[in-house]
Amino acid sequence: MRVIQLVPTLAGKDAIGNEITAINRILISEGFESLVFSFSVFRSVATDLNVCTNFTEADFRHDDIVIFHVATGSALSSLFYRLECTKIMIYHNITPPNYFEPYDLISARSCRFGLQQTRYLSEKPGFCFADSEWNKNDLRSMGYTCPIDVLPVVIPFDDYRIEPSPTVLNRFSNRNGTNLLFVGRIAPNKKYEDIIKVFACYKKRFDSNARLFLVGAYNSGGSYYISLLSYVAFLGVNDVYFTGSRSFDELIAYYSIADVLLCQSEHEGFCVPLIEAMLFDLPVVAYDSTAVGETLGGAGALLDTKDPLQTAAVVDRVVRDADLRAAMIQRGRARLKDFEYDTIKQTFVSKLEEFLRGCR
Amino acid sequence: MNANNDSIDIESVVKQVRLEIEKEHLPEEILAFEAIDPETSMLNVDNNYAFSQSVLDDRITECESVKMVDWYRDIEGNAISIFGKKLIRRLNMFLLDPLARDQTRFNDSILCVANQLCMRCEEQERRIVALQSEINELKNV
Repeated sequence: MRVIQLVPTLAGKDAIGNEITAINRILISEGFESLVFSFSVFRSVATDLNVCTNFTEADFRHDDIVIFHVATGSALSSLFYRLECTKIMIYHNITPPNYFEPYDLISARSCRFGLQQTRYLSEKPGFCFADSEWNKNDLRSMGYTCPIDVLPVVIPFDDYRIEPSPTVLNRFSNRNGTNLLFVGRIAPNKKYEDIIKVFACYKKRFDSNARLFLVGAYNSGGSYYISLLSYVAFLGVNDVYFTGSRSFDELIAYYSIADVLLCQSEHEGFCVPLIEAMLFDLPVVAYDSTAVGETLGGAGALLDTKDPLQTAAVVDRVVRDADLRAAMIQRGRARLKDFEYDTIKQTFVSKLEEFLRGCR
Repeated sequence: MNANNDSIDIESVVKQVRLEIEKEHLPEEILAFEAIDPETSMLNVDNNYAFSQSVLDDRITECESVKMVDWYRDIEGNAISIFGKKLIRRLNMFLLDPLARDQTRFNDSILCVANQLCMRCEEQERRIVALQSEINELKNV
């Protein structure tokens, strides 16, 4: 039986790309013929993926199982709507457009379009996976009545066991001081301005040698990024590094040199960097919003306030209190077990089999 | 890591820290991000943030550390793939080695240009300071 994963854009090392690769391997190991249909393929995707970029509705058979990954608006939604085969959706969440409206009308439009399409598709899939309970509730609120199960994002832990980039290590290991980190594309829902506020307080009150690394792709001409640069200048805070998109060994080096992962994001369907931080024994201080608390699962310091001084004080406590730090690391390691490949594989296979049995 | 860590209630510690801060300090006054106008902030960036000596120094150091391009790469894999890759590497050596040398030469030149420009800027800054003091002296006369 053919299982086709349908995704608008397939990129090698992003969360959805990793998940598609992992699901592909699971499907093959379970005896399915596994294919990926995507209009555009970026960066180095796994070589074992059977990817098709040139396809039409006629390429789908009635006995196919189609798994549609939803994270933004796309022309594939209408194709998925029309298909008459067995349909499954994996919902990765769509950022509310209001976050983008002051800065980026194209992204705002794409998100709005994506939400409209997701609502429109509500009766089409026979079954859905959601990255988190938060995403599951989001689907329910959009009128999905089919069975929905939570399938956390598959994170290939083994890929992280490589040497960190010596260039980054050499460049930033030349002085003492706390290193704060956040990882993610520079987008307004991630609230980088709040991270900068906390950092400004932390530097002023607790550690003048501290540095802030913001690792993630940005649009250098984009008004959100420019506003952030301007904000840093207005606050007169030094040692803020917007690194841009970095290679995987560089990303690992930033995790290695960091003392705390600071997340102030207001909209996350899962938030992979929280898990990556646990993988590197890096304590997390995060604002409690959307799926953040659920993903952390008690393994980090969760705050219900955006007060920069209070958040900075918590960061300081995490840095200085060895017992607290050790407890957070210990809980992070325990939490990682919930995201191990075998655990997620078991969930995916059992739910898929259950759904297919019901279809027959 | 000892077993006592299990007894630490992270949530309580966070609450305690927040209470301590609320008691000890006044809330921090920080400019609101909303005060930054996306339409005009490019001007501020140009004026205030476009140049950073530390970023320049960091980047030049980084460039220095990676300017040498080596065509040779270590090979990983099983015995058969290692053999195949070694063969490909050997067959491509005649092409890759000169390319890597050319790239290294180019990187070296571009770094030299950057360093020369930095020195030129420093020289000009010193000259500006000297001229400014001369102007001040003349004004005082």
